[in-house]
Amino acid sequence: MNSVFLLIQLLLIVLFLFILFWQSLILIAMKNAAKISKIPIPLFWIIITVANILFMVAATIFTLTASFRMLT
Amino acid sequence: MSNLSPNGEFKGLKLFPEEDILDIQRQHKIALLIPLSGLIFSIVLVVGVLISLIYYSRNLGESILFIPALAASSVVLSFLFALAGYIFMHWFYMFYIITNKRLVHVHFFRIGGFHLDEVFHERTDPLEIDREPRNFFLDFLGIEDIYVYFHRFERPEPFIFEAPEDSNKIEELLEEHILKKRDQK
Repeated sequence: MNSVFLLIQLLLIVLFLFILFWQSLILIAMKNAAKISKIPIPLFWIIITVANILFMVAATIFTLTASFRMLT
Repeated sequence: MSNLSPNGEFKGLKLFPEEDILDIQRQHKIALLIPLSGLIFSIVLVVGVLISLIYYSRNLGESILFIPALAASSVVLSFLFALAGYIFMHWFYMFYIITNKRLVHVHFFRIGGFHLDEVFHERTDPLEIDREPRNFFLDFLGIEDIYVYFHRFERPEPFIFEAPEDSNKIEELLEEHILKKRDQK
């Protein structure tokens, strides 16, 4: 049973990393768009994007730690 | 629009000599609100699940189910926020620009897909301008797509203004500056 939940957690970590990659791509595209169009990015969305990236990093570390604890 | 410079130039688009911008429009806010409202509803739902998970964590703390459930709701939440950001940026950095020489549909925010679609109406006579609502709901709100058909071998497909902010203004401008010019010839 433990190994099944461990596997699910590892799958969730992969998903986190995938979304993190996607969110970083969005952040880069936002920066490029602002540079080309010379229209500043709305502050609200910069905050949301950066907060989401930090949240994902924290959640990945938390899940990873929980998985290691489950292993030991 | 705020992104127009004092002399009427759009900073993100290089103009040709003697080219003037007649109008710049984004898509209507409704085109943004429909997907965003669904996302906000889902975010509220997932946050509710997260809060209840944390609230009942005393009972679930011992359970093996707690960590995967918490991680799964976090995955869904971050996915929804990323998607909301993508949808907003796609709308915010997309413009329909009408000048006296061309029609431009420009995407400044893009991860894939095209950056610029333009038709030089000065060189080609437009055949007709159609206005068509995409669905019943948009028809009810008076938001219509505008199809501009050209008599052009290289571009058989029409130039489409999808749910612009003010379709009346676009149609008036097109009729005034493009169709009238053709009649004068």
